[in-house]
Amino acid sequence: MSEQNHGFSHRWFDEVWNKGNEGAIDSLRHTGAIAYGFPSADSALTTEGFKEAYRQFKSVFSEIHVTIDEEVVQGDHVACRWTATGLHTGDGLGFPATRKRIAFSGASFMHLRDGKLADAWNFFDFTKVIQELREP
Amino acid sequence: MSHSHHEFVVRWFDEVWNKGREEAIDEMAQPDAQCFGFPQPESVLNHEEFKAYVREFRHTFTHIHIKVDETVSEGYRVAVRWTGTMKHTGSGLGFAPTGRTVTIIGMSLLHLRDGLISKGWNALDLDSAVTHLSAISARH
Repeated sequence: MSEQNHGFSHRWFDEVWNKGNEGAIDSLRHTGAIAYGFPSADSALTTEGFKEAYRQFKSVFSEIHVTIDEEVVQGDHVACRWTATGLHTGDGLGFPATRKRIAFSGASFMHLRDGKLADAWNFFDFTKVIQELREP
Repeated sequence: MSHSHHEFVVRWFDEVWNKGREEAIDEMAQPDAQCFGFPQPESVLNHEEFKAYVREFRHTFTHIHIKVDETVSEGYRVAVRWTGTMKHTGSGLGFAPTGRTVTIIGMSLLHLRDGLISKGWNALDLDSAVTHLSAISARH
């Protein structure tokens, strides 16, 4: 079981974020799944809410790339830490695009069922990313 | 193996954070251990720096309680997500204490060597809590 779950975090971030393949959200994620902690620490998003936040994020940042720094798998539970980079090219944060490059690290915990995402928890300091973009 | 890693992590947060027993850091982490991502995403602390920062943190926050929500363990590595609650009673953040209790969620990924922590990565949005407390402090 855990053998086939190895690499799931790579697959998810590659397809959904690096390739920008929105269809992968449906193929890699159960309909009832909840995503916690994205985009804010207190977020809890259903599939439609997640897709909305995903589109919003991609309208603010382009050239998004997430690198998995490490993945830990125990049965149906996957934890990973990652580094994300992107370019701030959209106005959706409430202030104009700065064209600054961002880089931030974070982590995700994923619960899988039948090889698909059932629930996920995300942790990163997005407050700091926004603070840095606001700095002149 | 994974069962003992879970117990180890629960003990770490209990001893170091909930009980505030600084000696537990020496007992449970290697002398050359490194801590990444706490308190700031870019932080890198050695053993002594980590101890000093925990002391400083405990001057700013009291009634600290960290609950382990989940551990995921494989080989010599264990990842943990946790929920921390604490009361803001000190001025270490650069503004007056608010007396408010804040909840911070986060995760840690630990590497163990010979049963002790050798490296730890952390991810959390501490800045969100600090910004929130700063706004409350400014109003009073």
